[in-house]
Amino acid sequence: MDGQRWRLEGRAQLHWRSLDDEWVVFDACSGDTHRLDTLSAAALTCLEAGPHDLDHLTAVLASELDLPDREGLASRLERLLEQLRNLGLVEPAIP
Amino acid sequence: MILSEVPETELARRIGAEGLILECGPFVVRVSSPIAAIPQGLGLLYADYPVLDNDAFADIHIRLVRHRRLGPLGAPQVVFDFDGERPFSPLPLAHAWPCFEWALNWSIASSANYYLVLHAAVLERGGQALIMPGPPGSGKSTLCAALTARDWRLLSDELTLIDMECRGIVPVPRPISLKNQSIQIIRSYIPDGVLSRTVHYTAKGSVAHLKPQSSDVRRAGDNAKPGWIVFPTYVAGAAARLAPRSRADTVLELGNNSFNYHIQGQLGFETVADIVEASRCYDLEYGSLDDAIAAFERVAGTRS
Repeated sequence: MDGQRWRLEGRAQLHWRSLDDEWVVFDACSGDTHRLDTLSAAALTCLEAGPHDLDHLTAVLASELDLPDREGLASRLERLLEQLRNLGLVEPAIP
Repeated sequence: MILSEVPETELARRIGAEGLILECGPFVVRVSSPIAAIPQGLGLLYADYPVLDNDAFADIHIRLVRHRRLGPLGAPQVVFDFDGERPFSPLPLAHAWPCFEWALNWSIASSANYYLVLHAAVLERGGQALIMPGPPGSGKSTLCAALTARDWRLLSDELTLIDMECRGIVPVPRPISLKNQSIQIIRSYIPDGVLSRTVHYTAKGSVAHLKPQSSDVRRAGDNAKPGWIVFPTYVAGAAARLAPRSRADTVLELGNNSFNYHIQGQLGFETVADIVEASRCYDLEYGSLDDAIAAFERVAGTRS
């Protein structure tokens, strides 16, 4: 994953809704609706704005969500990116 | 004119010939069949429904006919004819009445795409809708029938129609489908309720239909606003337990319990999210009807 940049899946068209402390997002391309926790929603929103590598994503989210354990966060994000890829929401950015 | 004002012989004649045109919530339905169980069932359960002139435009055509082939052991069969298509397998002729109800459900669920259609019972009190999704066995129709006897207005026991423009819940009050043990439970719970003859050995077991209250049929034009969404689960012997549930998960579950969410795109998503956002959402586990009804009274006390 070193230096690998991630981006929103090319065809995804996301529509968001915040409900209490969770998020639901509808992908108009796939027709799928997903329930996301705060970290997943923040990561996906960040990638929606543009491609990021894991280090940059970790730095942004640690700051945004006030999470001091960067090492633990990076490890969670690594797993999360794979899950979001399996859902067809993100993909590795081709340089 | 309502159906009970049509003389019995004229009712049977029309249904057996050009068809009878009924107003059923927002739908106009033409019913035709040479099978005697159909005018009998309509006369019993649809007595309060408006009947329209024969030149009225019908949204839905339900035609039940005898199948040309006999079934197992040489028994006669009924088949649902939908504009020349036959979406159901033939059923024993004795199942003609439930076949009519299933055919009408299927026709609405598969064609009313102006609405977002949920597979859920829905009732109303104080202008607010109680949406009750639930898989078979959750007891939603039993609960729905019992609630209609406790000052809740029936909007539907099976199909929740949501107007995607105004987010209103649109009534389509119809007879409530009861199965197996629920039939006797509701006979005891609503002693003056009018039920159709029980039909045994259907694909869903024994089936009978409860006539909706006249006042609920008359108010079929009064939409409701979203109020509560409750997912019931029957657990034998359990005490009633009402717990708030995640709204985000409720959005997903309503989508999963919809007949046409998958074709509505962003509008369907926004509609479901708006309905959920405007509702209080609960899981209800219950083991007795009285406990469940008491829990719904608590739900009704929590207005959005």
